[in-house]
Amino acid sequence: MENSTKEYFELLIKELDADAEVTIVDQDTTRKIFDEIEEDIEMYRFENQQKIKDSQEEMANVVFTS
Amino acid sequence: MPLISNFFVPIIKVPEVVENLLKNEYHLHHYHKSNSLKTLENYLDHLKKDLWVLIEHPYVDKVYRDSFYHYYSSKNQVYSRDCIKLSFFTNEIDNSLFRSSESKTILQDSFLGFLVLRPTFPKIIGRSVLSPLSVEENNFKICKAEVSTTANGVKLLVNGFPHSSQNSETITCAETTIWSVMEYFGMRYPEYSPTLPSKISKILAAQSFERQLPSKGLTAQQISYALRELGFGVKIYSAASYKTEFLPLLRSYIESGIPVVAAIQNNRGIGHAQCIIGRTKFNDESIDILEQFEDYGNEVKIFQFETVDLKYVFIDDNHPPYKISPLDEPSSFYSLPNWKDCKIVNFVVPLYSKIYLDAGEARAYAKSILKNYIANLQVYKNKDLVMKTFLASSRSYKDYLACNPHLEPLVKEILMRSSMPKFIWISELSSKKSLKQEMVDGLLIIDATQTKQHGLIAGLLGNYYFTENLNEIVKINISLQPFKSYNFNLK
Repeated sequence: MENSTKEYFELLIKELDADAEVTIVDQDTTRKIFDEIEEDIEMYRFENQQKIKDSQEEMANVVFTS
Repeated sequence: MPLISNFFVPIIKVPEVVENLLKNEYHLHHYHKSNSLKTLENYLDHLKKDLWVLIEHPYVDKVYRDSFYHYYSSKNQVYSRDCIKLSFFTNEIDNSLFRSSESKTILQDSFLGFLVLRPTFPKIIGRSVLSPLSVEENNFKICKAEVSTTANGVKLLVNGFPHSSQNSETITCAETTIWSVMEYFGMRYPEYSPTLPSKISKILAAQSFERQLPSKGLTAQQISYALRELGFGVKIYSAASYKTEFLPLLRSYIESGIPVVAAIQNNRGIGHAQCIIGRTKFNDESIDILEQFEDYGNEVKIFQFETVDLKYVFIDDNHPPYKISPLDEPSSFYSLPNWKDCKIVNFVVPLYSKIYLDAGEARAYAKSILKNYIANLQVYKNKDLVMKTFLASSRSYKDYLACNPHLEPLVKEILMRSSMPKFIWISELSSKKSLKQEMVDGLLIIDATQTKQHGLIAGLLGNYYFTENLNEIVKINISLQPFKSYNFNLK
């Protein structure tokens, strides 16, 4: 998997005759980044759940006529 | 068979011609006539004073005819089924130009839109689509649809946002707002169709325990229900729940080119629906005074574009189109005292049904990627950046990338070959200097159909291109110069 992605980009660089290097970020750093992003998103979703519920309840009560 | 009469007059003469039509064609008494003319004059006051107007009568209007056949024709009092149509031009046009194929370009270049006057006296302001160029104050960018219409029998196009006033019998502010949103999406995208008041009423009847006509207004929840039934994946937000995140989220949707239905309220009995369709253009000073930032580590300060102090453009059915007001004073253009102190309490966003990641999640995700990439991959150091997050269709975005003159060929080709869903979230990163020149220093492209992690399609951060899949982060060193920002959502 790692090689094929890397190879795909390397072929593209070669095709375009560009000067660039493809690297795959090491597994420890990747895991750390993925875990921290997941944690941030989960925390946002947890707080957002209540907001979604409250928004729905508040919207039911006001009539717009003016 | 009635003949269509037409008059071509300077805008200042319009009330006089309309008064004669009201007297001769609609046999109107003084009270209704003077109130109707007052309504019209109030509308025309908002427009440029040097316009010329073609006035045609009788005119068959699809929206009024729908209300006529479903409601007014069943009344004891006689209502006319015909309307008056006003078409606006930048200059005087000789009648012969309307009968020559060579002069169509001249007509089109001069045409600024139309307004239908319906016989629901005194609330006569019916359907209209006006070019922003027709109004006095037009230093703004809005969602626009191209609408085809006719003037003196000739087909012409106008770019603007559909507007109508309420007649308070078949349509109140709530139904008018739904109608204008559908008219906009229906004219712009093949996935949607314009709708009519009777269809809105029919949709709402399915979940109502009361009669629909005469209309007594709708709740925000009913507005949301109708939009969902009309094909949208609706999101709703309330100020009380979202607090400080509320207005930035609204601004993010406006930057995405999505008209938002805002519900405003005060403690003097006002409950009203408006459509927010764009914003004023920013100037250098509004960027310089940005103060609120978040520290992302490595001495990187991130400002949010959604905190820039801008005014917004409203479609309000009690006023002419394109009224401008700050978001925290959405009724500032009302002069009556009972409209004071209104606040936006809820807003409803009509999203494409397959956008699964909403603005809040997209913003949180983009912030988290940036923070973690700065901390772990040192993509930036000692920098001030403004972050702007918005939705774009991948077709428009790729077209913009393909034509962007500042992107180096490798970066352009990688982005063009990236597989993207129909809609993507974009977070543009610009220094204050770049932002003022409408340039971007970095960006994140996020999959709007991905609700779990790993939604990053591509990132241009510092001097690197990044992409992620389930197992890995790919990094390519690139040379990145500031490049032109994406400006196609609001025009």
